[in-house]
Amino acid sequence: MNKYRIKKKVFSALKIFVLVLLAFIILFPFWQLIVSSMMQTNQIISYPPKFWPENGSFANYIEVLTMQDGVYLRWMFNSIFVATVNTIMVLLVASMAGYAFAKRNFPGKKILFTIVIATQIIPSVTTLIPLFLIVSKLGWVNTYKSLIFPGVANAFGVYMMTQFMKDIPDSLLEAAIIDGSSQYGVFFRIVMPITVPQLSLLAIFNFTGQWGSLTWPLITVNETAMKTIPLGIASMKDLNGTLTGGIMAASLISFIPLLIAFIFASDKFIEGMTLGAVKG
Amino acid sequence: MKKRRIKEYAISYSFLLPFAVFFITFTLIPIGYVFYLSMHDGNFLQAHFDWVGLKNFKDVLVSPDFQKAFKNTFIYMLIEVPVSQFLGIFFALLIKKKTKFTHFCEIVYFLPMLLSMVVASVLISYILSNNGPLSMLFKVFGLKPISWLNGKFSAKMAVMILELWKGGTFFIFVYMSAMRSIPLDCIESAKIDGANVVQESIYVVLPLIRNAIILCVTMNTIWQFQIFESVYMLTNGGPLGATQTVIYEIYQYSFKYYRVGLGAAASLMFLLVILVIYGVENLLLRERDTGRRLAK
Repeated sequence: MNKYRIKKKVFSALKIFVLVLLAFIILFPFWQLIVSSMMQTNQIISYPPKFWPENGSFANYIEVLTMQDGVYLRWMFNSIFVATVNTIMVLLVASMAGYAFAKRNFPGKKILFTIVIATQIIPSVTTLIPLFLIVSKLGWVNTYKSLIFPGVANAFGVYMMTQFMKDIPDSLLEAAIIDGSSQYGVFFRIVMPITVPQLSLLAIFNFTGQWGSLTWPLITVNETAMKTIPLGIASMKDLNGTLTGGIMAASLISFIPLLIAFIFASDKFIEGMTLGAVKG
Repeated sequence: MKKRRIKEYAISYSFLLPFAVFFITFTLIPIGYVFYLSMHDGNFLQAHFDWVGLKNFKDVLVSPDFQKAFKNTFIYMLIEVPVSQFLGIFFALLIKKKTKFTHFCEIVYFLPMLLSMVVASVLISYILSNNGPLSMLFKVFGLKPISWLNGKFSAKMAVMILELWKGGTFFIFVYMSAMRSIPLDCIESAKIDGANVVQESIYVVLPLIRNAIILCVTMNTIWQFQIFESVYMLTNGGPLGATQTVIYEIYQYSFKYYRVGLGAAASLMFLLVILVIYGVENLLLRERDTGRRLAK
């Protein structure tokens, strides 16, 4: 019995060690980002690496926020604007379509739903070139339209909302109709409010994806003022060819909005991001 | 009666309409368009494209760039997928029991997923830089530090380290939620039968999360097949094309050399590979049709 107990203790100590080790591997780069964002560039690239911001300053932050007449703040605004508007549109458009597929009857419902689901398999790169041609023919290059609208065609969002809406009891909707509500009234006053928990999951999933997206903005935007944060940081890196204190500070600032949201709603985030597991 | 039904249908379609507009413009038309482009030659500046038949597909197949890119992509896939799946299952087994400590771990492990690939690449390229912390660690242990981004294989390793650090923990969460939905009596009865932790994990837990494993492997394979942003940020395809991936080449050919037709042909061939991967997944899932896509 004693031997068994020792074995168990060793095992759980080992388990804690491994878990802490992974936590360290994940947190350490974040810590180094904080440290190096307060260092000068030549301190960052010299040996040995620093693990504590000695003689550190916030000069990089001031530099980033004031460079080229505050272009970083413009990028920040672009990212917030694009991700927010896109997410709102995705939520509205996807939940309307999801409602139609889950709760309403019309000819061609099955085949249309199948087409929408089937397109999820197609990786976004397959349509990247034609999408760019369409967007440029519409004259949308370097505009918010090109950053926002293509992403609204979110088949995954429709699929998710259809699944969620299936759980709404029909009796609830019928009762509202009997009470004299219009079909649209039912949707906006009953269906939307009771799917808020699911909508928030889709919102987190979509917003985080938009916030970090690089490939599409890289292709469709080349004007400095229209860049989003990831594209802006990428171009800072291209320009300097090395990691500078400014890039470190810019990266850290860009992480803060999502981090704050995560601190307040970590469970929602974990649930929302693993939604992708269903996407396959 | 008939009129009323038509009105009902019209309302249904009106709910679909907003999505349909975006879906047709930005998904369906581009899908058709890519087939057209793949059989034509031309660039973004020209007004029209010339019909070339299947020449683009042939060009892709014989192009050393694409051959190398496909080879590299397969290397990423073959190494990264088993490693991240093994780690995902391993760590999910360790944190599946809910305690305060494992909750803390969950929060920490989730952090890389919040980052954009751009920021993650900044973090990791600092860690891997020549005078960075990892070099120091190597020196402390008396090893020769690796100049990660200069070697052909080590640059690939660097891309995989970035992918693993940024995206690997995702699978911990998927496996964890699959494991937490296993009925408790399965585990209990295994314990009563005298199974130890290792036996319990291998013979009870793993078979019960079989579908989650198939799902994660497929997802991970497809992700690894699509890596672009990490390569673009970390190595820009170099050194000497050693880290180029298929998407990186498609990007180069279409948007740098303006060979749109070639890019379109390559993206269709890329799609074919993805479809094969999905096909295999479906076969595996159907084989023992338990019906549960992913236990939630």
